[in-house]
Amino acid sequence: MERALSDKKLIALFLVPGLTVFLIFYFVPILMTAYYSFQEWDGINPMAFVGLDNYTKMFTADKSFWKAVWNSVAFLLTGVFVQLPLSFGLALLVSRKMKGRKWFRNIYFFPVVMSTTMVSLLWVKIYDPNIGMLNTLLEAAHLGSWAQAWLGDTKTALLSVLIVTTWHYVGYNMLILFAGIQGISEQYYEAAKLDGAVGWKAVRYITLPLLSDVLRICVVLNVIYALKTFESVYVMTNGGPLHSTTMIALKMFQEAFLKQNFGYGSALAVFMVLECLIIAWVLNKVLTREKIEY
Amino acid sequence: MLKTTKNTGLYLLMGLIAVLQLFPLYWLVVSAFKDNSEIIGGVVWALPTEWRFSNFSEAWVSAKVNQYFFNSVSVTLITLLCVLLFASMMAYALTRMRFKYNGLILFILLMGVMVPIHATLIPLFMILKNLGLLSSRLSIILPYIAVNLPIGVYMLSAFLRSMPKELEEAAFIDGCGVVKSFFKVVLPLLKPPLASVAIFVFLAVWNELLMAATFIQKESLRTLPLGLMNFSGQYSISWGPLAAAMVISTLPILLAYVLFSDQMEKSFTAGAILK
Repeated sequence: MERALSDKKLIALFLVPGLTVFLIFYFVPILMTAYYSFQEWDGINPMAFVGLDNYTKMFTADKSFWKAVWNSVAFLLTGVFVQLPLSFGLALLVSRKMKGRKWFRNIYFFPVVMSTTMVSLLWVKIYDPNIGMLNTLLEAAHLGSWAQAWLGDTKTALLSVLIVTTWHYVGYNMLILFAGIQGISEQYYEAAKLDGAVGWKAVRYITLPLLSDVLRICVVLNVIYALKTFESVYVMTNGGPLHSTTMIALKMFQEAFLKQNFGYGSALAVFMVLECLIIAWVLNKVLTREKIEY
Repeated sequence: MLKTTKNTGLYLLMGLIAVLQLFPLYWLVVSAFKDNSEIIGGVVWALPTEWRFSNFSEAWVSAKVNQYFFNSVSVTLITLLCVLLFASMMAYALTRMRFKYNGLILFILLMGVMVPIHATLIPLFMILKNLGLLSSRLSIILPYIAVNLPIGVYMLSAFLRSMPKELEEAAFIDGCGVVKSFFKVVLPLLKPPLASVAIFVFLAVWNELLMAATFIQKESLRTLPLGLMNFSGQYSISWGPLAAAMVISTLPILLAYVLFSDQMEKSFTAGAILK
């Protein structure tokens, strides 16, 4: 068996099909993006090496780039400070031993499995000033003066998109946190009960500390998802009005495939990758404390 | 006594949140049966006065949702089969077979888990163009396989590492070769993690928009998300048929959810921890 399992031909047979597809259609493109980012190129005429020009343009000349960065920060902060606490609350609710909790968990989680395109199209209609359910509901509640074109106004567009992503993904973090809470042994709570820690105290001194690893994963996930946001803004607003909802991934897409700036688009893509990797690494460093043992 | 009031309050709160999560979807479903005058003038939460199944037939035929549906099904199925087969073969080789570049390959695959797919888009467009694949289904199938392989390999090798080798050894003693023991012994044992990977890949591929929007240049090859997006652009006025199209495109997911919700929870938590 040992000899059979070190047969070069067999190893190749098992690895080559998948590895070939992966290398050609994933790995090599990553390297090519880095290479393109140093070129000026319209995708048709020969490339011209321009060194760091694309990056200089990105950081100094392109105003909407900074707008996109700030929007990413808004997505990131919402993910970590609004969505995650809400998810934690939901996770606590559905981990109580009560009838029907599985139903509630399933309901809260269901939006997550729907496509972002679907959810975004649905909310475009909800926000629609003419047929949308939101304005109609406001009028029914005698708050008709609040009714407006939610996605068409620079003042409300970003907030409206953020509400949709929160609605869409709140169940995702809930599920991960729920799995974490299930993994905490009942003994800790029983011991804490003897010391008088019940209700919020038990959450504060038992659940939260023992969940810190899972919470870290959730923070990193939310941050990465926020930085990668594309579909929701592409479908709902296409970055508008006046760049108020634009994101890096959307700018990359627009520069490359609408304006034929393949070099500049690639520079934006490289920025995105580095941003994700560096922030994930930093968060992992900052949030890792000594392991808690009781 | 206190306990019951507390529980009632809790149920009320949880019910309220459930309504918040479900009401947009309820609105979608009832809108799918309404016409515009009923949607604009009528009560938001009211059931349709007349159940207009014609919205569904209009979406299915005139708006070509049938075509998009078939495209999504074929793309998803082919991707799914290839990912499951390739990923299990790679995971097997990387955990059970002995060779030098084991660590290197795992490291390269890790990049696939970490780097956002957006970063591959521009070169992929060029590669597909040069290969003459831009006007075919393969233009998204091949990148979908590539993108989903790493997470598949990681989920399966985690499982394989904890699997005892005795059964394989027995198969070898009975005269099975590596290939035969892989297909007859290992693959059947891999069923649970394969189901997790399958759900993960199914949702990722069924819902994917960015690559489809970039690489699919023929209208007849559009997948559901892409088709829905264009449909909504053209039919900005009549919401009923669009709602019907959206309901149709979510039905397979709903079905999968009803059948495999436990499995789905598992694959989401496993996938999250890998990312």
